[in-house]
Amino acid sequence: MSAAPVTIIVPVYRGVYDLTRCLESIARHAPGTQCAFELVLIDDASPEPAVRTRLEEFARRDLPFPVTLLRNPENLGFVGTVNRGLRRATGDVVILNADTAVTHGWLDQLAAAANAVPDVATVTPVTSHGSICTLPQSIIDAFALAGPNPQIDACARFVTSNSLRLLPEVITGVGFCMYTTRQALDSCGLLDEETFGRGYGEEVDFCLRATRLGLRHLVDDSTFVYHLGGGSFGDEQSEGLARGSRLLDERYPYFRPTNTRERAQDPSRVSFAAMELALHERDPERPHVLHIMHSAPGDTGGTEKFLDALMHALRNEFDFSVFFPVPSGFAVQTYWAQPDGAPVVEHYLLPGGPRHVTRVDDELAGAALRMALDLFHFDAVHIHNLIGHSLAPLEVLAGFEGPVLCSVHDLFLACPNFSLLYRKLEPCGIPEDLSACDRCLETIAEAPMPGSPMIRNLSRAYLSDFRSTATARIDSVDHWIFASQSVADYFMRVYEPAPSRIEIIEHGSVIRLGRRASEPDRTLIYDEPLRLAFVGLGWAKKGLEVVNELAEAFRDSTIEIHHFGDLKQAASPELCAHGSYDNEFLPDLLQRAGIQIVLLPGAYAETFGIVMSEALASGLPVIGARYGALGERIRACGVGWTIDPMDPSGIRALIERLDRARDEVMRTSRRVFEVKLESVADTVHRYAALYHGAWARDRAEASPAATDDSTLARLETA
Amino acid sequence: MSAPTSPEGETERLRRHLRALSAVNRQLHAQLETGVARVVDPGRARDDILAGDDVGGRISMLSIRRGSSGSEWIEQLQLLAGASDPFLARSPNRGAFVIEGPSRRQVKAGMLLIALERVIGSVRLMQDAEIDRFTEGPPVEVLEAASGPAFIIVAGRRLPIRGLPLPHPVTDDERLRFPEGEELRVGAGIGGGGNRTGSLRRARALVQREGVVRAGVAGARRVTRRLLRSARGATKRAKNTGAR
Repeated sequence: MSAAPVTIIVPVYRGVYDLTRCLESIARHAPGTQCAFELVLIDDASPEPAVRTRLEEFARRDLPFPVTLLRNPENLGFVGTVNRGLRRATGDVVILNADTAVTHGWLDQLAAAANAVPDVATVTPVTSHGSICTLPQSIIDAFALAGPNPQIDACARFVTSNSLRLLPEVITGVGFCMYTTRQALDSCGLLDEETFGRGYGEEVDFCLRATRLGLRHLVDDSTFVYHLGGGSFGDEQSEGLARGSRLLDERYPYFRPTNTRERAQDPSRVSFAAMELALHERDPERPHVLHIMHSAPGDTGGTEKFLDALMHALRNEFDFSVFFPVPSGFAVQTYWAQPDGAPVVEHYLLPGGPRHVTRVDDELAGAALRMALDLFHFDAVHIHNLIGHSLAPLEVLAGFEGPVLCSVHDLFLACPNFSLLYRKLEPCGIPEDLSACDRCLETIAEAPMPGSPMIRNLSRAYLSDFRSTATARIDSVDHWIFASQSVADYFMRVYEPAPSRIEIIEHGSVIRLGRRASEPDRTLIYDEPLRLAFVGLGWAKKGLEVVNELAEAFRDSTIEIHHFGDLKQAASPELCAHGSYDNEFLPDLLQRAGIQIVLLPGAYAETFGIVMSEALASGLPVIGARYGALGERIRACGVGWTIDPMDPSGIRALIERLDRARDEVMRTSRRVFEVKLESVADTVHRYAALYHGAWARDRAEASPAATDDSTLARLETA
Repeated sequence: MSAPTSPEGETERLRRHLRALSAVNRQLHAQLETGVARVVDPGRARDDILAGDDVGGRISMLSIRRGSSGSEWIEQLQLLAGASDPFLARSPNRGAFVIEGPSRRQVKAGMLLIALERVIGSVRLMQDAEIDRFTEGPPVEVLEAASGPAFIIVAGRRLPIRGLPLPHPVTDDERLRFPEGEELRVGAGIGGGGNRTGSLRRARALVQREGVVRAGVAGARRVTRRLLRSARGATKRAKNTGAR
């Protein structure tokens, strides 16, 4: 920085109101300014007497900085007027339009930016109207900068406090408020008055001349100067713009393509993004939970539905973010509440990250989670699924200070072939002898079950490594949460988490309860053809092949098989397909189709059975596998019939029997109505307690033996 | 320039920087997918000498084949919400439509028609005159916002589309490394004309391959199979509809 004072040159032509705002802002923010400066006001033969009067009044005022008022005998235009001021200046210069308003600390900040790196020619602040330095529209709107009452000082405070201070480099400064160094002025001389005449393009020409000499131009992303724009020099602007553009194109043929590229790339993009994000900052008083998922929120699977219901039920108490893999790495999506109740949903794609995670322990996936944990402060982490993450998150979370929860929605941690179907055909039950897994894993490696990850090197060795790695990291999780006893049993065939870390929390229904009738529809059950609904994703894992076989078998009978949900594999033409459904409408859809029983013949051992809850909430009994959570729940409440999914003829015989024995259907339907159902909202207080860590503290204070006994007793009873 | 000096302040600044980078990363990724670049200050560039000719336009290097904006249809689509249960209809010459209340909405893409059949039921055959009685509504086209999967709007509901193939851009040079083959008309085959052309082409190919007599026999078999299949479907549908 030059030792001489900074000269602020304000050329003035019209607009007394804007001029007054500009001058008053300079006067108001002068106290406390470290940088010595002088103000040079140049009246370019203004035709408005009020302008002249205002300038004289201001020059006469007792101000803490010297003010010089010059008057052009005739109108010189912007370039000539600025040059008159530049000839007087001995140090750095700020060329300031009269329709601007400066803000607190503006001059010190611009001067500091000019000295932050060597060889700076110009520094331009961010503004409300100034080409590439213009703030994003959301910020302009937030501070009403385009309206008659702009919140200029508030915007300046916001910009300064949320700036990343990156000082983006641009190919040219912008003339509404351009801090120009003495080095640049000495090297380049004055604005080119001869070529650019009365204005438009002269500051670009000056900057490009400086660039040729190796100097650079910065945007000070921590300083805001308001600029009204559009009216500084009357109506000549379109003609002047065209002329200035043509002159620049002739003199600098490379300029236009470079400028176009710069506007597309937008060097201030990251700085502005930080400010836009700051418009919706999270309330730090609210606890914040990070969910780790295998897929994007909103997808159609049961885990996604559960998470959606969980976040909705706890939205008044917690902020949430979801971390999940995407084809190009890992993404984070926020779900924060604002004081007005509107959720803040923002999307982040983390830099780097692998495209497809199949290794047991993927360093890049771990790094991505570390990065996600660095994005915000999190009070708790809740793992729902590690497909697509490897086991790296368990290592990363060993160092996490808050509680770590892991809901076992499927048995991926027991085997990457998490459907636990031996060679995709029959339930394996997790054999102790891994030699039995050889042929299965070989098959799965070639063609995994739909929804399962493709792992080319899947083998017994891979599985051993996978399980031993998970075992070593089992204590990273403070609370292992199972939605049914059966999934806990399966899990503990492979792992032995401390009993005090085991929680059994049923999911509850993801759809609203209380809309079913008070008792079964007698006419429907006794007088109409038997109709069964296969509900959920139509694919092999859920039993589509069995359903297809049954639909074909009942082609010539009155028994009907319907399907509600997306089809992921080919369905029999005999299946009455209703297509995908919205959870909230499922009970109505089932009722309108005259369904009496829900058929869930998947060989996959369900860990809870969200669809079963949907069926019960619709007042319908269920036919489901005798093992897994379906069998457990059907037997516990007598709300259906259990089957061996590998025995289609047995299922067919059961359905034919029920077609004849409508009394049995009626009895079972009545039991469905007697079962007290819980919704997700009814169970979430237990998650909330775990997120808060209150349970952990309470347990530490209570007798550990008593706690362990009760948990073990519960497990043994099951 | 006042910079944060405390380690906590610097950590927080770095954290905000990471957030901004991740948000921009996501934005750039979305731009790559949609082919639309964010343009600086597009609406306020009248007095901006730096704005050039590209203001408000698209950046050629990112321009992938895309439809025009779907925003013009949104208001009409909102008005159609809850009009009546929509159904699919097809006429011999006019093509396929979703009929929603008083409007007919053309379905140009065959794969959309097939997907819609699974959601709102099979296509009903109608005469051209019957179709013409409905007023022309917004076509059933694939819409895409900055986030979430592509979707169509039917009966006022947003139906996400899974499995829609997206073009992966290559350069013209790369395209020209391969000789052009037979055209795949994914979006055709819905209208009467399209079907006839396809059938004609298939029939010509069969005649060339098998000769006139054998091709005639094969064609007759195919027609018989199609009739039997449609009759069986109609019986089953009648059973289902009649039952309830």
